[in-house]
Amino acid sequence: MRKVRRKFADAAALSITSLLDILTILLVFLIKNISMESQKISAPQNMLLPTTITNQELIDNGLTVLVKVFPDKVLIGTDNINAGTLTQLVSDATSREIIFNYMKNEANQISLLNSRKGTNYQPCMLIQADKSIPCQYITQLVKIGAGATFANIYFSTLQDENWLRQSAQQAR
Amino acid sequence: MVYRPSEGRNQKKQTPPIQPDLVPLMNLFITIVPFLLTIVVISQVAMVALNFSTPGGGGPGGSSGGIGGSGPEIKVIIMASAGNQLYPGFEIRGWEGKTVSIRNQGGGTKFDFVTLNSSLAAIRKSVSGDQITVVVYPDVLYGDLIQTIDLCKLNGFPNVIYKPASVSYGSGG
Repeated sequence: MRKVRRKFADAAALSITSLLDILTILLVFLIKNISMESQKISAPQNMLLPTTITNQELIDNGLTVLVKVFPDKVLIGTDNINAGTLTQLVSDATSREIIFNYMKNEANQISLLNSRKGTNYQPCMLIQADKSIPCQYITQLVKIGAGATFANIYFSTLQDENWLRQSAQQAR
Repeated sequence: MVYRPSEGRNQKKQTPPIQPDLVPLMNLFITIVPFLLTIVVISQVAMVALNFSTPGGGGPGGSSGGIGGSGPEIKVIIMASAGNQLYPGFEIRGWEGKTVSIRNQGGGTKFDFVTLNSSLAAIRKSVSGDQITVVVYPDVLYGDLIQTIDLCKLNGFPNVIYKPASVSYGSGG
C-alpha cells in the first residue's frame, strides 16, 4: 500500500476570540466615557492649566460660553473665534468691545431660549487660561463677562490632589 | 432484508463546528479603538467658580462684590513684585485687626502656599463667616491666583470675592 505523506502540517488556526472579548469591553468603556459635551470643555492643546484640589460642578441649569486665553491670543466661543491678542485686550477698546458684544449676544440668546422654551438657563462664562498669564488680562475678561450679565464665572483647572504637598516639598 | 435508512436520522457525517469569521469585526474594532483612544480625555478637568450674582451689584471692580456676609472682611492680597510697600508674597488683612505677611522665600517668585494654607486654617477656626476677598495685583500669574482661590475654598471659604488691586501709575520723578 502506498503511503501518502503530507508536505505541510495543517496551519493552526489563530484563536482571536479572547482578543475580541478584550476589544469589546474596551469599546464599551470608551464609548461610555466620551460625550460631545466633554469635548467642548476638555483641556485645550498648548495650554497649561493651573492645578487645584477643589472641584466645582457647573450649576445644573448653566449654559457655558468658553473663553480660551493663550499667551498669544484670545479665542471665544466653541468655534474659537479669534478676539485678538492679550495686549489688545488691555490697550484696544475695540478688541474688548468685540468680546463684550459676543458675550452679550450669547447671554441674549440664552434669555431668548428661556422665554421660548420656558426654561431657566443661566449664562456661565468658562475661562480657560494658561497658568503663566498675568492676572491683569483675566481681570479684563472677568469685567467683560460680569458686564455682559454673566453671573457665574468659572475657571478651568486640572484636578490634582497633590499640588500643595509637591509645593511644600519643592520649598524644602 | 435490507431497509432503507430512516429519514428522521441524521445521515450527514459529523463535521467539525464552523467558526464564525471574526476577521471583518476585528478590522472594525482595530479601527475604532485607536480613534476613540485619541479623542478620550484622560485628564480630569476641574473648575473653580466665582459667583457675581449679588443683591446689590458688585463684580470684580465693585467695592462689595460677591455674596453678602456678616463680620469683618478678610482680605488675601497677592503681590508678585516689590515696590512701594509691596513685596512678593501674601498679606492677610482683617483678621482680628492683624496683618499677616507671608513673604516669598528669598524674595523669589515662588509663593509660600503652605504657610498660606496654615494661616487660612487658623483664620477659619476663629471666624464665623465663609467669605473671603482675594485682591490680586496685575502682574500676579493666573496659576498663583487660582491656587490661592483653591486654598481659600479648601479651608472653608467657599464664597471668594475676586478683586483687582487698585493700581495707580504715577509719572515718576
